Amino acid sequence: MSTSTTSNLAFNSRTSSRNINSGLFKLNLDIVEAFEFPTLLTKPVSVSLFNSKVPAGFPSPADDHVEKRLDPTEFLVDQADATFFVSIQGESMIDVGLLPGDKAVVDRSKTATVGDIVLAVVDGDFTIKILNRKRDGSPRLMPANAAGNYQPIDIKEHMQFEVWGVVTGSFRRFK
Amino acid sequence: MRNIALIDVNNFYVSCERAFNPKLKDKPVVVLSNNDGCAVARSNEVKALGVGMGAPWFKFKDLAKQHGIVAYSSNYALYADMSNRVMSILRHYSPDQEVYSIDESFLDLTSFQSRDLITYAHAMRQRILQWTHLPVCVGIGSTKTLAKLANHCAKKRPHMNGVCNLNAMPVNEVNHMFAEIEVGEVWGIGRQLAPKLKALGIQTVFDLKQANPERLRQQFSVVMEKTIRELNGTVCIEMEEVSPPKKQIVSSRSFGHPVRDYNSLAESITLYISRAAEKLRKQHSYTSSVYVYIRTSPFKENEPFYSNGLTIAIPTPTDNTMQLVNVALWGLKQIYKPHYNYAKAGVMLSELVPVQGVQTDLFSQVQVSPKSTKLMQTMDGINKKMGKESIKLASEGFTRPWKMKQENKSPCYTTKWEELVSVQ
Repeated sequence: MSTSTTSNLAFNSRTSSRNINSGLFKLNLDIVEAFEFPTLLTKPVSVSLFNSKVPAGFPSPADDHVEKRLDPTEFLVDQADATFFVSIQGESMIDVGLLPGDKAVVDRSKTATVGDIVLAVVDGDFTIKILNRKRDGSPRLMPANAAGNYQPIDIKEHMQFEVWGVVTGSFRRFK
Repeated sequence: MRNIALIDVNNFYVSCERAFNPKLKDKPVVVLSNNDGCAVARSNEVKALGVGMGAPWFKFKDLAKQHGIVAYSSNYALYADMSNRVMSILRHYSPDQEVYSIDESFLDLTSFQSRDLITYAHAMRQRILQWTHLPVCVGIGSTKTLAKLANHCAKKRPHMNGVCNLNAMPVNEVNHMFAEIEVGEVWGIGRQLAPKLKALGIQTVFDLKQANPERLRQQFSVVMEKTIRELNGTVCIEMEEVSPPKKQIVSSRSFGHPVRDYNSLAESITLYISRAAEKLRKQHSYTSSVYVYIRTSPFKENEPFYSNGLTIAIPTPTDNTMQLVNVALWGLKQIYKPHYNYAKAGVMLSELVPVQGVQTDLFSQVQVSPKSTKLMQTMDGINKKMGKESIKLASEGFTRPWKMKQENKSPCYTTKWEELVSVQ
């Protein structure tokens, strides 16, 4: 009986504008955007409630399943305050399904372990790779591309290295 | 004894820039004000080079070139989003929060005093650093003035590791530390009053703590008396009360009856914004950041507690009531949850800049149209003559602000899909 729906900035309006021919869109950006509202990924975006009228007084079985409509943000984001999105460039991770242009979900609240896909910083540059460890215990970043065009990155002592966050998911649009 | 904490992000704007640009680590970085006028945030390396807060860019441009200082234009969308993350994380550490500015928050930890508060503060620091990449310092004291000083100590004394709890220190040790801190560092004293106090022989924080509050009230004001009493541990400035003049404008009120529906809250927020905007125009300033918050009563134990707030960045500073109402109501929509008994709502305008400081851009539209200024003047005039709120806003007719000229603004890493960090 009651349904309330609000549009989610992060997934509706933003993503639709993203599809406009990017060159054109950039030209317009300066005049189009009035306010730069922060995206609020913690906020549930839509709620639908079942509440059926049954004259005989039998409760509808659906009443036991009052549930919220599915929200992709909820699916992708565990800790909104610690979650950031980055854009994938290049093909070094295509074997794990990260294609150029994909948005990767980076969660800083998680602690990285060996085997995780991580957003790492190596000598001042961001890179997304699989975290691995060499026998001597030093970190090694593995690409995921069977074509073999990408080499593992071995972290040596003199290098600046930081795991910026753990990549927990990704998303893309086709249209 | 009260345990009030002040949490403050170190070099906030610079730290935001560094979070998304690892190359800036250990480099001298400065963030410039709107229209690249002057330094509003400096990394420690820049401070060490002698660039003062508010130094005009054209004056240290040569120095910047010489030392490789990286200068950024203000990216308020980024800062507001990062601020919201920090404030939201802090809210988990105490329900009694006062967001004091974009990068500072008071937390009343009194009800958590059975814990080791130093450990608690370190946990806060650790979490904010891990989740947001932003370094913070935590100062704890029995009053807000002491919490501010504790924060200062936490920042300036590396051996404290970013946490200073004055309540856990022996009195003589606190006094000894206060004797080493210049009186101008005390909250509310600042550059104007410090020379006058020094003329009276009050050089350090300890001197002021020992001073006679009544005598100094006669020479200065009741604020000075409050400051001295606060230094001695008597709470005179409650949570959510004070705002230093010029830096920000707060308008808030507790409701007579609990309010549940969105429309009533929206009405009160509109009213608070109108008041705040009037004050803003009176002191000839523009604002570039609006904070809106709502909360239920923390004292009703049988009712669910909810408290939330949001900072929204405005790209072009403004004093236009209509624009500000629009922004604030947008914010309210994001944080409003039905079925709660709201006891209080409020707004805060911060990042204030003097009207004269805002330059117009030669090549695009005028920054603030004379019409808008005229309209606001007329509105204020009528309201002054005919009594408050003679002219009010309907929720329509707001003109879009214009983008300002910013030569080296970083991408809006967290608020625009087109500007995400690209990673190979």
